[in-house]
Amino acid sequence: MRMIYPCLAAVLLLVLTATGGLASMTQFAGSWTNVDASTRGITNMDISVMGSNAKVQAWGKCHPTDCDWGTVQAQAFAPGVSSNLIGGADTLIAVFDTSFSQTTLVIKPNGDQLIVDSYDRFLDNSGRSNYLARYTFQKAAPGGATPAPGGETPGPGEAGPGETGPGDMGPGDTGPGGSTPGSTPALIDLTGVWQCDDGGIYYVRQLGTTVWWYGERDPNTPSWSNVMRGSISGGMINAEWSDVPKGSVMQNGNLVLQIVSNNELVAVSKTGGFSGSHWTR
Amino acid sequence: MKIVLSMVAASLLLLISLSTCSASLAQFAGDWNNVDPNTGGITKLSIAVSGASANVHAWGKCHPTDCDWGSVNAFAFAPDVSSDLVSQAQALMATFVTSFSETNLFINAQGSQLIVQSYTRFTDNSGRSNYGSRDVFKKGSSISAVGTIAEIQPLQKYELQEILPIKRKVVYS
Repeated sequence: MRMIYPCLAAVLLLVLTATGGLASMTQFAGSWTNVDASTRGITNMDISVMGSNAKVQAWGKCHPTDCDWGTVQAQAFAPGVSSNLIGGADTLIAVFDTSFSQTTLVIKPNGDQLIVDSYDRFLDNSGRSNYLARYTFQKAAPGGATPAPGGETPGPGEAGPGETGPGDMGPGDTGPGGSTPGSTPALIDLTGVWQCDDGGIYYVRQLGTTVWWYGERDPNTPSWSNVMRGSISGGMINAEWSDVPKGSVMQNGNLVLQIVSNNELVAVSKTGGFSGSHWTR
Repeated sequence: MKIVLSMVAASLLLLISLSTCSASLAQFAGDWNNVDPNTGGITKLSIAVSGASANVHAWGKCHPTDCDWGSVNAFAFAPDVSSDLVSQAQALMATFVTSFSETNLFINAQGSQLIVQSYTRFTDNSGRSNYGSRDVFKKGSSISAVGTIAEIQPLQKYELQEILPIKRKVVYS
């Protein structure tokens, strides 16, 4: 008799554990917040579930409020072809498309959290690498998850799909779902004197969405000096540059610069032998 | 002397471990066998790499020989938007489409193995549930078992699945 109770307890524990680990559609439902408050990728998700259907709305890091990527229909997956999706779904896949990128989110529950693998693929031949980022989300506090409306306009260093994640903080060109994360942020003003990791000084002027600069190694007898003209779109500057004969080097090419903030630029694509990669002021 | 030898050994160990951990596109290349010989899903993968491009060829469980799913171009993913894909790719995504389903493979390198998460979505309104599976692959000898097109069957053994040819088409292009 003594042996029966431990056995029963063990079975009960096993059943409880198994039940706790069981997946279902409802466990995805709700408002979710990235546990990393300083993420530059996806900040929040709202997942609504009806039967075996799920919709995912996502927000990317933006300033002053996060960017709304819009809502997409997600696909639910169960462990087996004959599983019941409503009671057994253990993965959602949601795909966000923009004019220049495609972001595939693979969403899995992990206890009371969600693990989200974000596969970002660029379609714009910008030279940026496709990248994979992993985020952990927890249930948002009531009333605390969904960013305030009107946050579609990203400030510098913020993101739409395909523009988020490690090392990539520019706003999206056009966020799906009607938001316009790619619209030129009014807050960006790059005009000023900048330093670069190539040792040069850059004199930048921004006129609307157009950016000009004159850069040189030193003001007296520079080994190189160049001019640039670019246009701002989606938190990036697509530009052409050319050396000019104050210096002796004569090269030219294209640049794609990411506007990390009003005080920081990062080159994500360079041609023509441009050496600088990081500008600050 | 003992200390020097210990330090050399530790450095060597660190170097080896770092080499194992560092990702690159090349580490995906080769023929891979599912470590589960009784799998009902993908049995083998053959991955070819050229520069920053990868091509994935897959075989599914069939009788008497495995079914050839064909090969598709895969997309490589680095840890960062400014990473070099060739030297730092950490995942591949490949999509196989049939007339009745779409299967996405998310392939991650882990040590000397590949972790493959497979998600199959049915597009034929058959009522079958979309399903996912996770398989581990290890480097194998050359692939020899190839089925004919008439033998191609769905990814797992289930009653409602049908025998249809595989289309060689990439969805994400």
